[in-house]
Amino acid sequence: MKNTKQATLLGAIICLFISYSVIAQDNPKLSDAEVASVAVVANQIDIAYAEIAQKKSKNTEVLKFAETMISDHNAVIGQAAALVKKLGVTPKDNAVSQSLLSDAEKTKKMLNSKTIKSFDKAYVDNEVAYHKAVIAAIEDLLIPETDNAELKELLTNVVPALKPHLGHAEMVQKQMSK
Amino acid sequence: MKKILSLVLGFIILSCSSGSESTNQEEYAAFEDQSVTDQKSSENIIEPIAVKNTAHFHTVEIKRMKFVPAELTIQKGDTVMWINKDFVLHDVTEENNKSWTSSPIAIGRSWSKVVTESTDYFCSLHLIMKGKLLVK
Repeated sequence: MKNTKQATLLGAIICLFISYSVIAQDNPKLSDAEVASVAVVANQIDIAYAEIAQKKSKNTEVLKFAETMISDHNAVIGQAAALVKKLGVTPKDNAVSQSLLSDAEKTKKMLNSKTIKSFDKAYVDNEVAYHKAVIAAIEDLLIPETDNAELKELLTNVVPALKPHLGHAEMVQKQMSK
Repeated sequence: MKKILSLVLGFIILSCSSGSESTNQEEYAAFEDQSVTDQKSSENIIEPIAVKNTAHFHTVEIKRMKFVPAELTIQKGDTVMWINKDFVLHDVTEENNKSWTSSPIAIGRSWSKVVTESTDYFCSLHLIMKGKLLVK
């Protein structure tokens, strides 16, 4: 079951990179303003998931995890906003942001449809799988594919920031299975 | 599925900007720390808190989701100061009994404690972040 889920995720990652290259061909490069929009939207979506958890969960550890996600992702938005200001750009809506939002609507519906009893597992399992997929995508696909040394370094530095979220989610997952 | 891409992009933005170590004091004003070392705070001037290490004063930096150094040997009664040099909130909490906690330390701020016994501690906001104080 777990392997199937991972395989699905891996498939999803591969699709992602195919769709990414399609987007990349249509628009050789996302502008700074569009990247800023994507970054802010992506973080807002993660905050939205955590806010659902705050409404639906009664589990202290899940609630604490959700609070950390809200706090950390708000910090990321703050950083992105500071950079946008420094660069003098206004975040610009784009196809990637739009598709992110439409995907998020589906996931939010799924989470909202869960009973109180089944919600915690759905939320935490998704967080674990999601972080694993992101880390794997950066390490195995993005870093080897990147030629630019600075970008490579950036991507390399991203992983240590993601792993604590995964480790935290896994601890909560383990506690819940007891 | 494009979520992953965007998260990656989000973290690129994040990494780009985190190097500047800018302080977002306004945003985190709600989490005033109990810093005893930042004497300028009353003047509303935010200056980077310097790492200071003397015979009886030790600094642990919190950066990239880690306590640095993660293990520190000190003498009974020494003061340990934790500086949050990360871009997110962290705290310092005694691990086994939760007998004390710093509460969230704002970005760029510090929290200090006189330590009298060996302690395992962690960040209660990021459970895998752990540190150790060894009292000789």
